[in-house]
Amino acid sequence: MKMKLKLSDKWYQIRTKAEAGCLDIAAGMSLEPVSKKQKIRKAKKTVSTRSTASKVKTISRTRAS
Amino acid sequence: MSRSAVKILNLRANRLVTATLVSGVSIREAQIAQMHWSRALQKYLEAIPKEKWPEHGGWDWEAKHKKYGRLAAYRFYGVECANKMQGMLLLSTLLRTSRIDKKKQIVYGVYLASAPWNLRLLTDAPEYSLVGSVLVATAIQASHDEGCEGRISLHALEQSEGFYKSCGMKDLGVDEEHENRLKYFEMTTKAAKIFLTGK
Repeated sequence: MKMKLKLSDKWYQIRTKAEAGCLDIAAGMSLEPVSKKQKIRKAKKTVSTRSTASKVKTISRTRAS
Repeated sequence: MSRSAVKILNLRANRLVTATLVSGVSIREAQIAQMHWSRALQKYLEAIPKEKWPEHGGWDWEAKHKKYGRLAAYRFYGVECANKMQGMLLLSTLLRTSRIDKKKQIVYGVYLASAPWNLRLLTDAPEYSLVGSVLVATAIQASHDEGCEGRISLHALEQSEGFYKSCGMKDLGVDEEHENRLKYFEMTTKAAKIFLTGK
């Protein structure tokens, strides 16, 4: 059975003191904007490295043959 | 969706005021909250140096609602006061295993944040306090409802680690598997009881 949240006056007093010095309260699974940008950057880097590497391989194979 | 009365501290009047705890925030409420929060944040960011910007400044609660709002295992909570959402919490009831007691299951706080005008990080004169504490208490209550005996867990942003320590949550160190290598915190049943009752 779901209970209703009940908080006493004393609880509010205690938490007021405890929260007084806190700058922020955020919690989260990820910092989305940063991680998305990083992902895009990483993806771009991977693509360019791969393409360069494959080009080098192709050139060296051509020369070898 | 349900609504119940809680209190938060109006810091400017220095008195407790009645707020509404919304269980099951609607997409419309999330949209309006996001609009208010974005506008306020923009104003604050213009006035403070970049190193003081909140780490969660880019969070989009409307997008989060679109992503998780229809999934039964996710619940949106909000604390509303003065016709504005003062804080929001997205809770996952997809049970995870506690890292402290591996035989026990735990409820996970996916996202939790307070409105920009309530953050000491952004302003010397925040409007309301206790929003975070009420949301943590809500998460503990939801944990009890799910049979997890008050156990909750989350990844705290660096600027917020002090707050979760003040709640009695245990710092289990940097989570190497976390995308942003944030610290992982857990609240045990005992700590949850102390947080809610003081005993």
